[in-house]
Amino acid sequence: MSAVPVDFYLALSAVLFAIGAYGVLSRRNAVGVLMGIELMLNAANINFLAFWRNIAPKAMEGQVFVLVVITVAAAEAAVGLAIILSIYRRFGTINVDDVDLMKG
Amino acid sequence: MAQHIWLIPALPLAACLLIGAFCLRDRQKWAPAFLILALAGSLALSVTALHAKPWLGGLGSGTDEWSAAPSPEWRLTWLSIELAVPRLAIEVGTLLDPLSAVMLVVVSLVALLIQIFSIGYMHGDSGYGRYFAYMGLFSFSMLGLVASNNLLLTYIFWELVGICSYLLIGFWYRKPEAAQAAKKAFVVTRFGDVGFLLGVLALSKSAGTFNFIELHTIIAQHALIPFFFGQSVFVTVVALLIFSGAVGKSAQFPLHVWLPDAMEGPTPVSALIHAATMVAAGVYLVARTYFIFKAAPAALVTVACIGGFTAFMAATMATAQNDIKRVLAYSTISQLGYMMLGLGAGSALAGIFHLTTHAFFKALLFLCAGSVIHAVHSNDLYHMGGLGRAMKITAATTAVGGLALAGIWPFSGFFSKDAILASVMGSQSLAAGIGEPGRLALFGLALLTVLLTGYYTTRMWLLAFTGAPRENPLCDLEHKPHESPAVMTVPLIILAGFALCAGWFGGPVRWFFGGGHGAESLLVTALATGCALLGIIAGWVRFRPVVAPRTAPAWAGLGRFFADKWYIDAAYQWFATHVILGASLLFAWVDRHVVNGFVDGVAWFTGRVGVAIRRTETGQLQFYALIIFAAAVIAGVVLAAFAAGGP
Amino acid sequence: MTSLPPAAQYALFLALAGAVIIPAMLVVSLRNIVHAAFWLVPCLLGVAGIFVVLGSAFLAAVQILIYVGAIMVLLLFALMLTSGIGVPIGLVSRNRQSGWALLVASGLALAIVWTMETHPFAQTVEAIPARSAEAIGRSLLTTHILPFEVASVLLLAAMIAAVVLARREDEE
Repeated sequence: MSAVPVDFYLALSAVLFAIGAYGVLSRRNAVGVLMGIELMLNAANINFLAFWRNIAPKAMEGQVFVLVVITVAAAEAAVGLAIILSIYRRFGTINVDDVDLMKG
Repeated sequence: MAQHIWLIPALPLAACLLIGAFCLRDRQKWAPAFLILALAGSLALSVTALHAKPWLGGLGSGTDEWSAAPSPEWRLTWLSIELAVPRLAIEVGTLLDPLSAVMLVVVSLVALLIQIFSIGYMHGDSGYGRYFAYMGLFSFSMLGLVASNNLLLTYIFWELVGICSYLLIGFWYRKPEAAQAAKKAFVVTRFGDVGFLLGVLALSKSAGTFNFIELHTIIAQHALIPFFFGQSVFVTVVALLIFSGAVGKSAQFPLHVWLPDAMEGPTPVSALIHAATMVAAGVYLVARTYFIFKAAPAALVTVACIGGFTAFMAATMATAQNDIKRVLAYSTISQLGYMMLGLGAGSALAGIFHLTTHAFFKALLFLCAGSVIHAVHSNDLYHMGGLGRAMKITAATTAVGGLALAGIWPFSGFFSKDAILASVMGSQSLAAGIGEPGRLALFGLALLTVLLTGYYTTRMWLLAFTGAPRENPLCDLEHKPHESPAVMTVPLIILAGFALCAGWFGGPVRWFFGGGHGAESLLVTALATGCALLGIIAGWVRFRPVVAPRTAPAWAGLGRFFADKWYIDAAYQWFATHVILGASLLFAWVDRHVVNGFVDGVAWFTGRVGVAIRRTETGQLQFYALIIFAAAVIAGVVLAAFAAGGP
Repeated sequence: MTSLPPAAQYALFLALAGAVIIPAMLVVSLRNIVHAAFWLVPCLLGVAGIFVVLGSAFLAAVQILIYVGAIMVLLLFALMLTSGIGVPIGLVSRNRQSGWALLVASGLALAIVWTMETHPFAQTVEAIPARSAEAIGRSLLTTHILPFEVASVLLLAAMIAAVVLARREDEE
């Protein structure tokens, strides 16, 4: 049994998630927003593994889920960056404040 | 015979429809043919109905009570409504009793003669066909009103007659005065009609029926179920409401103001509608529902008082009019007041008798006026003069009508006026209602009215037919007035015959109505004749050919008061302009500012809310994400708190 | 990790936590976006270390391969393509709602931590499987074959989507 209790990992994951959330909410550059999202995904992964390790190590779901999350993160990064490129071509900028066609 | 009475109104209706279908533009010449044939048929049927011995029921038996009648009715259920209790059925039907039989004959006879007269009078008018169509519609409505067997149907025909009056007063609708007069007639009678309808509804609801015979039975047996106050108060209220309809239609005070203006219509219209028949509908209604009034003595007294006052008031106004038709109009109002006085004094017989004689001589007088107007092209008495030389027949028939109106023996008016005055003198109910001094005062007013009637009638005849011709700007001097064609004078002669003779049937009429009604007083007869002669002499003194004024004198003092119609019209006008218009301006202001303001305020408020909410639609993704995160945090905390602390 | 004495375990955890948190804070706050992207690398490596400490070396390897290897490169490509050479890279990094964002993020962290503290979890004493790679591989092809296949379809879809989205309009 690990000496470090699960709470520490969960706290770490919470802090990392919060940092990622801050990045998502406050970055102007669209790629910066994506980086924040990656941080949040990683925090989730830490959370999953912490629970797997300390609550149900025999169940493979913990690890499989992490694998799937990483896969999804990759796919999402690819598509997201493609969208950002498309926006850059259309608006000439990737400042998310300027992309407000839905205003009003 | 009672089963075929419905044909009597149906024939003129058919004529109206046929005229409307074929004769409104081309073939206008044929229009009167339809109507005259129809009215002749109605007259024939009405006369035949007299043979059916209808006096066995209805208004008669000397006590003005309804007695059992062997099916004088023909009924047909139109619509039956199953309300809780009682079951109310809307029927169509006719009733044949002495009252309706007499009225049917009078109405169809007078209508027929007037239509014949109209062939000549309306000749050349562009609305020739339309005129006869409307007249046919009117004849249908009036005959239907007289023949109807239930109160609701009477009301329906009542309204129809009002519509025909509107159409015919405003016949020359391009003339603004005519259109105004038609509107005025309709609106003023409306006031009365509302009361009438309320009375009908109240009565039928508590009695459970509209039918006259059934109502008579219920009221006689005191079986009415009033829904407010007690039985006697309720019956009085109902009677007064029904009377209010009569006040409107028969131009009694205070709703008399429309009748003089109604003279804007063609003269035959004035003769038929506003002298002989439609205005008599109010009198007819009171007679028809007399059993209700008998059960409500206070209402009967009211009828008499209003009638007596109206008779006097209108007679004073008639003395100060320069328009020949206006003189006759006020005279009509006055005579209608007489009829109401007779009815209110307790003798429906006297009132109806005067109605029939008045129909003849007033229609005669109006047609004579029409003949004169046709010759002189003017209504103004001070444009006429000396017409007696050229228009002998008209002058003679006018004299007959005038003497009948004044009530001189042996003309018809003498007998019927006498009957009314006698009934006032001998009326127990009046004495009970307003006391002996009140009754004597009413009698005095009636006598004074007889005097005034003689005066204005003489004035009218003298100014028109005697003396030298006066200046008439409406008629060039080359065109000398001449007698009217035969198609116009023959009806005059026929009507004059009736105006002379109709009174002689007083005895048989009384018998027809089922019995006498009390000995006449010689004193009354003497007083009445004396006053009439006094009036005629006064008129002769003032207006005989030598001293009659050449032009219309200016009125002053009392004369001014009479000429300006006692300022009643002015009072109504003031009320309409200041009170009603003022109130409507107030309402308009409220509508514009309060109601509109509220609606605009709602719209403004919605706009402001929209502007405020729009600030959340920034279009920026991160703003939305911020909101989502914040909400998630709050929701999570709340859920966790409840899961931790709550049950 | 369990073989080490407790104090060492704590120290290791602390070091790895620092390696994750501090670069992460730099990632979200640096004005120069390329610098920020580069600081993501040590962060992700730290996360890989956490994976190792938690007993899944396989996943740590996958993390490094995919995240640090592929995704980071992709991010840098995108940065270079959209910022351009010669165009100043540093926009003002924070937008107008950054104050509120800080508040909400802190609130988020506090809420999670507080929820966690009020709902203690029971820890088990079970051992983890010895060879994680083999265990994962076995389960991916037997019990969890559905997520495996779905993930592959997802990757295919993402690939097609990326190609379509990033295409120039005038190309046929």
